Amino acid sequence: MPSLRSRFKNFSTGLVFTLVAVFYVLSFGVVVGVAWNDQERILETLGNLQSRTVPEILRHQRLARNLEQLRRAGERVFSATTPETRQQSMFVVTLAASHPSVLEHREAAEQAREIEHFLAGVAHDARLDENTFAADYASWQRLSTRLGLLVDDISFQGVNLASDDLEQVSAVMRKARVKVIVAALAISLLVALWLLWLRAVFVLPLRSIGKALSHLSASQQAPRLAPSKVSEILAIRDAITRLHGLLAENEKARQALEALANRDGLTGLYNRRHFMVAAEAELHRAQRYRRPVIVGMADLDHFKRLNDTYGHAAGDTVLRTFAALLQENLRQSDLVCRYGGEEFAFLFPEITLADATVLAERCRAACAGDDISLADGCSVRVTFSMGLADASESTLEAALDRADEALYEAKRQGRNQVLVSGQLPLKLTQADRRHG
Amino acid sequence: MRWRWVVVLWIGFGAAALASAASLRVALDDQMAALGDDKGNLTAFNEDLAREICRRLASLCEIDHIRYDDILPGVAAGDYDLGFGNYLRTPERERQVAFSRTLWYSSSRLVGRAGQPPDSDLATLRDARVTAIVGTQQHAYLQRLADKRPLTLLGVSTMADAFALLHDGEADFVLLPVLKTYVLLVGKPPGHYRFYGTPLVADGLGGSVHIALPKARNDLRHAVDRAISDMRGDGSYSRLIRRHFPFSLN
Repeated sequence: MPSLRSRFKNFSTGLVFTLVAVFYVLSFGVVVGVAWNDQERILETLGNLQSRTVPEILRHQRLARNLEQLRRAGERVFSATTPETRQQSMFVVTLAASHPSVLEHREAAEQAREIEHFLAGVAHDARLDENTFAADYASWQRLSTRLGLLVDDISFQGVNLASDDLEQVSAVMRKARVKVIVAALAISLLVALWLLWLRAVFVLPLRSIGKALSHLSASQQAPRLAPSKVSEILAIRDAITRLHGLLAENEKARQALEALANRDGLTGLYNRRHFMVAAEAELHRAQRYRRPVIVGMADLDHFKRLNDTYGHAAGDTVLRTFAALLQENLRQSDLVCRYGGEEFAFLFPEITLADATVLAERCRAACAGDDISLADGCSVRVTFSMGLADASESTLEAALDRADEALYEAKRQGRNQVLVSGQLPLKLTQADRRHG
Repeated sequence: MRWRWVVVLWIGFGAAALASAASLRVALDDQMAALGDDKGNLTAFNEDLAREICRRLASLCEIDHIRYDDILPGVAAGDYDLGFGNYLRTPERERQVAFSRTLWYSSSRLVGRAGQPPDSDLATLRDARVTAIVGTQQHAYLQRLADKRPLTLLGVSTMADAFALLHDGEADFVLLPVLKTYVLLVGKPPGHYRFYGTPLVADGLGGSVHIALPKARNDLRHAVDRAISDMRGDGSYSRLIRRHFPFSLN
């Protein structure tokens, strides 16, 4: 049973995303639940306002209006000029005092009953003596004022009824606003943390992986990537390491194939085919930029006799030693190949014919002064002849032909020497071209 | 000759339009029509109210003035679409018909000739002759009261009959809705009649007043309720009241 620590040492993003999704769903569920609860409270309060408070307000308004109607009718009882109009006003007083809205309010019903009784007495007395009005009017004013105050109280009570519900709605909405702000901040914070985590866990590693991939090469070491706990990133990192290993193996194989294809198996020098391709490219480059370029042909002197005397193994040793000597004495940029048998071809870029002659002479002298140890303990000393030709304004084949002509001339003049084409005393015939 | 064709077509189209418009059959209490004057004619008020509702429902009003007793049965049977009898909402009536929104509020009160004991009140009244219109809530209440107390109940058909009994001294009091009483007394000489006791709302004697409608016509009830709300909202209901009464019915 793996421990929790080891289980989460490396984790899968699928698991993380699932956990985050569940977390967000739960968070949003909580937020929606809280908002829903607030909305329910608001709706409930508004429902109360509509079904209970507003009818109650209307009831208070109706009561206040009827009491005010009663008060005005009472005034008209006193201001009436005829018994008929006084009676009509008295009827209105009775109607208002008998209104169900007045009757259901204890204080209003008592005042209305008192006023109706008072005004009925006034009307009755007035029928007997019109002069009683003045005496009763002061009493009426007191009753009227008291009724007016009651009207005001009832009106304000009605208005205040709505205040409680509206205050409750406002309180719920204020709380809801705070909750929304807190929820928005919390969600924003969580999203920010989530984005930072994504950046640290995915974006930065992927960026370094991209950079590593763009520079991935068999010639360089395997890229070093930052450690990660994400299994997907680890998989990519492992794949990159494996890919680098494959690149290195491929490069080795390519180099081996290239060696097989381009190098001479005995001497390690370029073979003729590769030399011709490389020399052609170099020649074109030199001619395009009008730079000096020299070609040369060399041949070991009396190599056939050496083979016959010491055997082919000795010949091979001489060839390898000669090739190594050439590579030691030539410049890095010079091209040399085993042209065939004991014959070698050269291309000297960026050098004049005179300097190339000096360089070739140095090689010739080094070769002539070097003893080559053979397998049987004997040592031999070999020389070579060489012809040089300026290739700055001719084709490779033509220049090599001219170098070859100079080589045969060197052979003819006694070997172990370097001759330059164009400085030959006479034109060699094809019959003179024999290796010696 | 051409104008004659125009007239004929105009009449034809008008008749077709009238025929296509829906009509509402309205029943009004006939006994109140003859009472009161321009200011205080409850039937005139109800008739104007009925016509305004019909107008808002884009219908023609077919108004019949019938006996008070016949209004509810006629509405319940579907003979009338609207019944204006100043009906209080009671469980018994709700079993027969549906009711509109509240039109106004009513209470009942004793009315008697001047000279009765001033402290006369229905709560304590004994050994008196009380009259009421048969079929009304007041009559039903007095019937229940008469079974318990020494009261003489005199049933009459109309308010005129009730006041005739008062006038002739055959009855001491009549129990009536206050507004109807006002309508009846407003034109009479002052000092002959007066109200006695406290107004009564309980036991079906007061409360909200409604239009009666057939129970099966929910669509009509909703339309009438909407029309009443609209009338209250745009002030036309208040203006209608002011046209007929010198006070508010609310």
